[in-house]
Amino acid sequence: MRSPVTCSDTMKKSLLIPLCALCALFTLPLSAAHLAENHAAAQAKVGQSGYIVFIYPGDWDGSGKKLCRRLYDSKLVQQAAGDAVLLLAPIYQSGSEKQRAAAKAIMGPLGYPGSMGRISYPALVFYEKNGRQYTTVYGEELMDRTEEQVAATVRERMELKRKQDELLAKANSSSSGVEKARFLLDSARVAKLEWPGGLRNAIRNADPNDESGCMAALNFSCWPGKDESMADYLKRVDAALENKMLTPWQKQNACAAALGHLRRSIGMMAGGDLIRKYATAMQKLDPESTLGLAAPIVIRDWIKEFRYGQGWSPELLPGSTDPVRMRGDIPIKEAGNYAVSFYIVTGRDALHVASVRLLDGGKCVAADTVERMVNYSQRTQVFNLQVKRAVRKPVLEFVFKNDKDHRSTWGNIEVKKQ
Amino acid sequence: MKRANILRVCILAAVLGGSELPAVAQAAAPAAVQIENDEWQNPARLRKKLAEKLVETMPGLSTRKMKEFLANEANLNLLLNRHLAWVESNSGDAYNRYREQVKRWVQEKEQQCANHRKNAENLKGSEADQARFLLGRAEADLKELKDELRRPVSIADVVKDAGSAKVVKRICGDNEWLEHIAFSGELSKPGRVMGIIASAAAKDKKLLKQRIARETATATALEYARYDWSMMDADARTDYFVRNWRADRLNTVFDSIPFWQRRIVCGWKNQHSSGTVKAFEWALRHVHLPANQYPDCCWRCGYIADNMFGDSVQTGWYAAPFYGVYDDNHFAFTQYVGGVCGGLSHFGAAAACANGVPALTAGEPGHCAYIVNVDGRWTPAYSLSWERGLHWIPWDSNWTYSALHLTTELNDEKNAEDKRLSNAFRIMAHAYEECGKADKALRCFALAAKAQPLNYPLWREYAAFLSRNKAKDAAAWEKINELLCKGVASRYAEQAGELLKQVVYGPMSQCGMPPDKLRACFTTFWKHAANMGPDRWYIEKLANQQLDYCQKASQGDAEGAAYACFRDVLAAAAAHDAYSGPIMGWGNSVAGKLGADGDKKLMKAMTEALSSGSKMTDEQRHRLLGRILLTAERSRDASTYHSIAKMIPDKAKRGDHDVPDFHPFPGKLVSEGGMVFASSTSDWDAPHTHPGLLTKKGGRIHTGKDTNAWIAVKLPRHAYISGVVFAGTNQWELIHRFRPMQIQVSDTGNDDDWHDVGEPIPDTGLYINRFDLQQQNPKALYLRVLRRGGPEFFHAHGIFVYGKPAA
Repeated sequence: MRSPVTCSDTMKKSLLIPLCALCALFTLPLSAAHLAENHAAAQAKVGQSGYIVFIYPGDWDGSGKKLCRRLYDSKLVQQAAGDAVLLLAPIYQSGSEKQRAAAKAIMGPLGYPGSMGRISYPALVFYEKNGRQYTTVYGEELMDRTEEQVAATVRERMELKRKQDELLAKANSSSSGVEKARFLLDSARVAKLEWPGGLRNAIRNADPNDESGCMAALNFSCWPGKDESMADYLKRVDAALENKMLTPWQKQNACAAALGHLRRSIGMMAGGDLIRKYATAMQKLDPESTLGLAAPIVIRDWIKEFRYGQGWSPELLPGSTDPVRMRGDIPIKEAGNYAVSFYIVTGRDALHVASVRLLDGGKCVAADTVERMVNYSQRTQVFNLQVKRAVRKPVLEFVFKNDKDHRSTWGNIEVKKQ
Repeated sequence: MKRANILRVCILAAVLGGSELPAVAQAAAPAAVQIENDEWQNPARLRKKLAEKLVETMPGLSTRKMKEFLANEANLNLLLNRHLAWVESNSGDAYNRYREQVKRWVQEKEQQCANHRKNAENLKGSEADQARFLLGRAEADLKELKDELRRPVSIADVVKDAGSAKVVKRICGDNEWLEHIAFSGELSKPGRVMGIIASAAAKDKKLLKQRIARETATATALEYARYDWSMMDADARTDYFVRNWRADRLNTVFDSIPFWQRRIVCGWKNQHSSGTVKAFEWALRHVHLPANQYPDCCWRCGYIADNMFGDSVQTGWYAAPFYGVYDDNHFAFTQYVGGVCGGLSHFGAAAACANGVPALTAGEPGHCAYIVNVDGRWTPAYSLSWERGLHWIPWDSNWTYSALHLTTELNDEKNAEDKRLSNAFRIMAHAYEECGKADKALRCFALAAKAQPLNYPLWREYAAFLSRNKAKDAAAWEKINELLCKGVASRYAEQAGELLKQVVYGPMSQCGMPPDKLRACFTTFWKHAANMGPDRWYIEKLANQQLDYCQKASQGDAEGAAYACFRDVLAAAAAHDAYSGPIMGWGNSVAGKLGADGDKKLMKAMTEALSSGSKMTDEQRHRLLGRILLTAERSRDASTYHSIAKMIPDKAKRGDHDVPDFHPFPGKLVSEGGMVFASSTSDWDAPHTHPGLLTKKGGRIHTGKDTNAWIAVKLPRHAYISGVVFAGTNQWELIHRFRPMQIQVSDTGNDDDWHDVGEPIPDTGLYINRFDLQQQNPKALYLRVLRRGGPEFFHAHGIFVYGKPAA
């Protein structure tokens, strides 16, 4: 399985690559790559570092072809490739039989990346000694890049591969099943590389009862259960955010699932604080990733204040009986009798109002707790509040009893002194 | 220098890599008419003047004389300028509508800006942030719209600017350029076309000197003018393609595609988030592939119905969290967030276009597919059905798939002379009509049809001319019907059908033609429609329209009219394998809507047509229907297959015996409702029982003695296959025919597109064979059991495919 590709990869690269390029200039290579004309010749030279095939557009793009050739000939890139064997192979659009046969001879049993995979040409495709493809470099990592930058990218991938191999070696030499499973899991978490082959089975065999929690981490998903309460579900999400076995990407997905569930179940008004909490966490985990970039938009667009004058709508109504507070310029200042009127405008469902309270500085100063329905036979409902003293910071608190599937209703709320 | 020589020099220049237009090609052709800038202020007068000049210059009306006339470049230039003036003078209303529309858009956008500004001031917190964000967006849109408002719309506007006037003059003096503008497809709002080209030329001084750069600007202009997209965006699109072409970054297909296909590439949906320059640049870097890989490239993105937030793609919430991140880059959105058929197909098609390879999306029932031109062939991708409507259309109001194929042939270099000749007659027809010579105009239309019957717009104009001048002349309508059927239906039946439905049948049914004559005209189509064309098409819709007109003309006897219509249509269509089945199916559905008496009559007509008049037993009838099933199988026409299968009683569909019980694979029986077909047929085959093969009752399919014989199933929809149960034979002496067997899958069912999946069964002595594909779980629309080697017979009683529907 491919590790998730996110925007942050790109952005991190923009910092990493110049640094690595700088290192590349001052670091003497331990060994330089071998060049080979075809797979047969490459096979004779191949070592632990495997092959890197520079695949260029054979007959359908001039600049890609030149770029690939230039990189293949680059001493910097060759040095960065360590002792891997480098091959230069065309991929044809409508090449002749002869051309295709020649390309086949170069590639040998190393297959081209599949047409359904994430690939673009020219590309540097990295293969293990046994022919298994483990990473690719293409697109913006190659185009418009200097040789130094590409060399840095190659060096980085080789380094990552070495790290992955080390983890696999540790896993193989480990006597404890739990430890082995953890090394295997870590090897899958090396960024930008494919998972080692047969990883799931290997972890399962090493730790059949999943004492390490590795299988659970691999299979992690954090969607709300059908009958799970919001509180229980959010506890689960919070636990996931603390779980060290999970990657930032998995935790971000847990946050996203929670955010969607909150918006759909509690609404954008009542859920505001929780939406902010999980969106902020999602952003902090990796600000430049897809979900990290989505977080500020969620905060911007999914949190609604309930203010006097805007009435109610399905988006604002909570899907639970948690109280919601209306702020803004509520026209209650002096003592007296006030009428809080609900007028239905449109929608499929009635508005079910359980109670109306007036708060001042968080303290309840008046209330009407007789439940009423605002519907098409009773288009207006009035709640009465007897306010015995002047109010400094009036806030109205409502309890609605519409469940989350019955919130198709729009209307206005008005306050008048009697 | 002769035109052909100029062309050769240009091609040579392009091949040599210079791509500079040689001086001789840049110079204006010997113009027969010098159009002054002032004359564009009154295009109706200009068009009249040029018509008179044409009529005066034309030596006579025959193909030979027209060829001689066209041999002179100045005459061709006169014809082309007359056509340009004609379209321009007809565009006045469209220009006014466009100006008004842009003004409305500006007003609406100003109002939106005001609302967002107010919200930004009054709201607090995140809501104020949202309002500010929306205000920024609306202000950018407003700026573009205001720019558009200042741009020229008609040629009269364009020539007011000295630099642009020079470009217009240059275009009007260049026959090849004019032909691209006038005859590469629809020409809409020539003023905007000229304005866009002039604008691009003003920004890029080398633009008009390089053939491909100039063609790119022209193709972009034609499409942006056609769809009312902004000039600012047109400039950006032209710049994208020209810049990357010069940098040698596009697929080389872009260098050699016919001009009309350049319009597809450059005219990719500007309003869609895949059509921004940012999106195109992304695709150029990240989806740069050989052309033959574009039909598959959409699958690099996941088919994701609910996003990471759990919101369905059917709601606005799916994209909402990314509003401002990816809404100007569909590719990144689809790759990183996901999408379903629409998102995936736009990914595939737009990626191809961004790289210079012609592609377009197409609607199918409840689905979106796409089509890529691979090596000159239109290749459907992620397609589930033949019922597809193009999202980019070569000809207005015609969304049919085969329109691409007709237009490909029409614009083929080998047909260039015929096409030019046909267009010349077409222009002359309008000139004669304008000068009050309707009979000569009519003759010109007939000659135009003779020169190149695939010239699609010719037929629309021919029919419109008849409506204006010969509305009640039954003979004239009979003739256009005959010419169209003969010239087009024989090669592109669907296209002929579209033209007949849209422009001929309506007025023809009003011209006073007697009902039997009208019916005979309808039958003409089926006599000439011999081939299905590139794919199955809406045959029944055309037949229904004919039936409708017959019933209207019958003055009350609807059942009698239906019977007569069906009888005649079936008799004509029965001669052609491609149509006999679909028409039988259509008759069956018509019969269902009639009373019992009408139903009987229709069935009788059907049986008569099938048996050529002789009496038939039920078994004979089933065998005849089986033959039609085989035809439907050969053309992979599942619609006809199922409608014919419905006409065979369930009992008759059974094979010799039921398939014994077996253990199914996990998932659903995804082959249910599919279509069976085989590498060939033989005397032991029982085609009327083929539908039974997919049921537990079993059927019988039997190939001839083939090398690599196979039996295939077209599934009703794509599925992830978990396994296949194959009931071969229970006769031990025939068991050698089943060694070895291999399952293959395909997305297209084409001969060159089958891939091995799972392990082969090298040797079997079993009646029931199980192919376990749970490890691979391949996704496929077609699946077959291949018997490698031979020549040998291959046969089966049942095939059962299990898995999970893919989408």
